[in-house]
Amino acid sequence: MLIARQIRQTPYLDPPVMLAPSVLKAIRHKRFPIRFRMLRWARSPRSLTFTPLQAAFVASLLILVSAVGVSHLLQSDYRHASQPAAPGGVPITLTLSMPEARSVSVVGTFNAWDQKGFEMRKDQEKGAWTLMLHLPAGHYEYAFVLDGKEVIPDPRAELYSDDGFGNQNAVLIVGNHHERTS
Amino acid sequence: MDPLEEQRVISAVLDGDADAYAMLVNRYQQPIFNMIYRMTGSREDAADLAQDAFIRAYEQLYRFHEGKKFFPWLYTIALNHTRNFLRKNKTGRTVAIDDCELHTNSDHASQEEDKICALLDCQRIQGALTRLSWEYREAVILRYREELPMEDVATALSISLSGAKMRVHRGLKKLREILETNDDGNRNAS
Repeated sequence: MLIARQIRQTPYLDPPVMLAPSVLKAIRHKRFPIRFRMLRWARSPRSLTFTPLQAAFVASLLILVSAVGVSHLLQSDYRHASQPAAPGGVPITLTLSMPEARSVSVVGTFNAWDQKGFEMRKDQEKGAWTLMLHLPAGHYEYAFVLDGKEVIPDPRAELYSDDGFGNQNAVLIVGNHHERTS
Repeated sequence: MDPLEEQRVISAVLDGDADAYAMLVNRYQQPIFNMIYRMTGSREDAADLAQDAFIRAYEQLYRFHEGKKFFPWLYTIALNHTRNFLRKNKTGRTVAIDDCELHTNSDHASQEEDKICALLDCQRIQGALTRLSWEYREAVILRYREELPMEDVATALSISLSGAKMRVHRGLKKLREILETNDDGNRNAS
C-alpha cells in the first residue's frame, strides 16, 4: 500500500504555540454542572487518615454519645412506665345499666371492699348507674352491689378474676393517660 | 499517552483539575488543528476553531463516557464545529500544497536526493488529497495518517462501521485515480 504509506508520511503543520495556553486560560474558571460534580463526589471513594490518638478520641466520643443516648432512652421508658398518675388519679367512670335496681354501689380493692361513699348515681332518663372515680395507675378488682345485698361483677368488663369463693370480680387496669369508661 | 494514562487525565479533569486538560490539548492539538486547516485553508481560522473545539470539548467532558477513546470524540466535536463554521461563512477552501518543507542542511548528496524525492511524493499526495471531498479525505487521513481502527474512524465521523469502511475504500480509490490522472498529465505535458 504505497499510497497508504505516503499518506502516513505527510507532514503536519505545527499548531500555534499559544493554542494550548489560550485554551487553558479560557477553561480555568469554567465548572462542570453542580449536579454532575455532586454525583461524582458521591461516587468517588474517600480515604481517611488519622493518628491512633485521634482514633481513640473519636472512639471515646462515640462511646460517650452512645451511652448518653441509651441512658436517655432507658430513663425515658422508666419515666413513662413509672410516672405517677396526675394529682387525684386517673378519672374512671363506671357504668351499670340496671334500671330496676333501687341502689347500686361499687366495692373493690381500691376501697377495701367497702361500699360506703361509693354509691352510684342513677341517670333517670337512661336508667344507668354511674360513678366517677380517680384512681392511681394500677390493677384493681371490683364488683357492683345491688340494693345493698346482691354482688355482681361488671358485665361490661374486659377481664375477670376468680375471687376464690366461686364468684368472679371484674378487673380494671388503670394506666397512665388512661381514662376508662366502664 | 497510552489509553490508561489518558483515562487518568480525563478523570483528573472531571475531578476539577483543569490544568490536567493541558495534557490532552498538547497531545491532540496537532491533528485537530491540521484537520481544521485542511477544511478551512486558513491558519487563523484553524487556530480559532481549534481553540473553540477544545473549549467546547472541555465544557461537554462531563458527558463523555469514561473508558471510551477521547480522540474520536474530540474529532467529532471539532469536525462538527468546523462544518458549522463553513456553513455560516461559506469560505471553505482547499489547502495549498506548499507546506511540504525541504530542510537543506544536509551535506550528503544522496540524502539530499532522498529528501527531494520525499518532498515530491509529499507534494504529490497532498495535492491529491486536497482534491478529495472532505468526507473521503478525513476518512482516509484518520485511517492511514492517524492510524485509527475502523471503529474509531466511524465514531469520529459519526457514521456506521460499514459506512466508514466504504468511505476509506472509496477515498483510496479516488486518490489513486487522481494520482494516476496527474501522472498521465505530467507525462503528456513533458
